[in-house]
Amino acid sequence: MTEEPSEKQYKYGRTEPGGIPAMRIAVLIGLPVAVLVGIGVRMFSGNAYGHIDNVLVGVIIGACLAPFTILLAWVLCVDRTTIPGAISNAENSIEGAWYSHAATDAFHVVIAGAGLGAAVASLWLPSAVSWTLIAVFAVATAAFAASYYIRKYREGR
Amino acid sequence: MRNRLPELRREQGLSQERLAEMLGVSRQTIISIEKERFDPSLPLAFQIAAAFGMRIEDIFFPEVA
Repeated sequence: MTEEPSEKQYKYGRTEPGGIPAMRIAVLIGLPVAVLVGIGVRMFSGNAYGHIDNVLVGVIIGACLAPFTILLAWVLCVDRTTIPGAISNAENSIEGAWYSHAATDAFHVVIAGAGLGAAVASLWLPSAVSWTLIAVFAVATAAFAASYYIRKYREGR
Repeated sequence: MRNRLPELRREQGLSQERLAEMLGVSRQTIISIEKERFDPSLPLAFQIAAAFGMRIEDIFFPEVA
């Protein structure tokens, strides 16, 4: 009953069915971005690293960042249905429901933790701690409000 | 929500793995629906009904209080 795959499968999938291997595109995008960010960091950090060649330091920082930028580029460009073993209807699978419940729980923990933490920190800890937790609370609340109203606007009419 | 999925699947001679493949979901999804621990989304319920050539209400029905 198992169907033969009609095209060569790549471990990291393709950009679309029949498209380019996603990892190739991810490396082509992620590597230069990492090096550019590395050089940018070097330019803005002044002489924090001593009198060493800017490009060399930028490339070294870029090499450290590359795995993350390549991973991010891959996440953005891969078509998940082309990954070997991936299911085509993931959003209707129970794992999708578990993910949503876990994300909801995590959000509530962040809101409660940051809110209560800010209140408690304001009594005993330096004000920077309290302000940081207030900022986390504010960003989480703003993200929630934006997401809620975008859905209300799109789906509530 | 109650359902007749295990009974219908066995009648058709389908394994959980095969039914999951047909619906494009994970096998765990089928297991959890059969154990009535997970209510499928409406699109998935329609897909399940179509796979057995039945209506949704012939497969899924509410808990009787």
